[in-house]
Amino acid sequence: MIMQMNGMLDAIPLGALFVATLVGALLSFEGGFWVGRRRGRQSEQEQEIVVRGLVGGMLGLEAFMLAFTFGAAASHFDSRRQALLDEANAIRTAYLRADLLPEPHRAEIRDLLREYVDVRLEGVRSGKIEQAIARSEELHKQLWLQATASRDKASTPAFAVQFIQSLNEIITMHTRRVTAGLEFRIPNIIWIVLYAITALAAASIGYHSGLTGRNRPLVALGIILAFSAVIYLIVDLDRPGQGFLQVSQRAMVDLQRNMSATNP
Amino acid sequence: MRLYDLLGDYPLLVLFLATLIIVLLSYEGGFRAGRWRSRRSEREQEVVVRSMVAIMLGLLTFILAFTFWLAATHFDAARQALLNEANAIRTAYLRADLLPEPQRTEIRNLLRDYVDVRLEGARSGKIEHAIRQSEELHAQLWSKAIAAREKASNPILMGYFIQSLNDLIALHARRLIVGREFRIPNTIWIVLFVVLPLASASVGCHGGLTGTSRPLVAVAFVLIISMVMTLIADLDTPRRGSLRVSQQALADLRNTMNATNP
Repeated sequence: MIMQMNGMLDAIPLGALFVATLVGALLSFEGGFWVGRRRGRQSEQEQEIVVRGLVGGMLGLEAFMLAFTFGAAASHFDSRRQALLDEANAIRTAYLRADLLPEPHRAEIRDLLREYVDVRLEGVRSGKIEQAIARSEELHKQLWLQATASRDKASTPAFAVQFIQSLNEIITMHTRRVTAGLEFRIPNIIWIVLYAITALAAASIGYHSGLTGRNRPLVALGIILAFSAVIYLIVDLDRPGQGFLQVSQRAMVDLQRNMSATNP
Repeated sequence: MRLYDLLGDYPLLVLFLATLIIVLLSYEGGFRAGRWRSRRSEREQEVVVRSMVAIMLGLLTFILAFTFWLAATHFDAARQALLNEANAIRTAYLRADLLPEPQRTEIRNLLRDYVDVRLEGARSGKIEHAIRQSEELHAQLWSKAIAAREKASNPILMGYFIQSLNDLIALHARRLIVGREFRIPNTIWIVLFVVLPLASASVGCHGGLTGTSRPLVAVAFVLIISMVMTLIADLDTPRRGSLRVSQQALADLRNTMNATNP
């Protein structure tokens, strides 16, 4: 029903993507250089000054587009981090509030919550996200059953409701984390436009250098490297679970330790 | 006057081609004007023109980039609003457990219908119809909740459900506003379409003044500008084009609902 909107580049490893971007930009540069040199020889000289203005404008726009896309990817990264922190807090709250419930539900719920944290951590560690999500949702269901059962037995239903509220929070945080991880991404169409702009801008620098007839300037390599590096960074930020930039699971690991400390 | 949607009715390809043609024509116009002036009068100071053209291009870049950023932010807001709404519905669905029968079952059925209405509205594009149905369902849910309150043994439990129902209604309203009004205002589009030909005409004029032939690199320039404009329009209309807000969170919710109550 819904077209695949994100993750166009996910199949390519980060290192290969960087090299591909670099090579693509260098080839565009070379193509532009070649065309520029031919044109500089054949026709009456194009005024270098006009070309310079245009190329400057294009590079400016390219830089801005990269910067804003970087901003978007960074804020998605932050929201993934925030979602993990909020989730750890919601689980901790539910774990504590389980104290308000009567036995045997208290112990069962605590066991389930401990398993829940294990499933989350294991899912991220092994990369089997789909499996972890499915298991998490089963655990939600079991937790909910325990909670409603304990409500019917509880002497003070207000306590049970407090627990139910924190359980709602856990489930909400789960969907938020799943959505933040799988859907809050840079859409494909932005990648397509970014790559097209980068290729055109690199070709224009090449054209400009070809037109002026000198050798290939070394600084062009610098510009192309810089643009490729920024694109690499954006991809890394945008891609959950890969590369140098990964959401730290620290909050969840701490929670796991706390839980086993209170109930060995 | 409509504040938004100036470009709403045109397919993106049309917009792309229109921008391309406008920019090319204004470039050509500027080029001819510049050449004509350089022949007739004594030559204008090229240095002065050059710095002004640079400023024009800088301004155009800034406006395009910020509009892109604005549109991207709106797109994120639309995604966030959908996620929040799905979560509110899920919470209300779970909390319906706290209610006495028969309201529990009735409310759950209404909530399932509600998700169906939302999904169907997004799929078929009949947004107005879906909104009207949603609001009817709100009224029904509310009256069921009130009916349940009178029978409930425990008003605290009731309070929790009513709270989540309030959230659900508030987030519906929020999603409507985000969808309708978190858009690029028409004024910005108009200014873009004024600055765009002016900037490219001044680039062309500069070229004409210097007596150059038309630089090939202008084609790349025109292409880049048109692509960015189209991208902005695509981001700005979440229901059209290649960028749509994914309804996955709602579809997942519907599956969960089916699983708990076949």
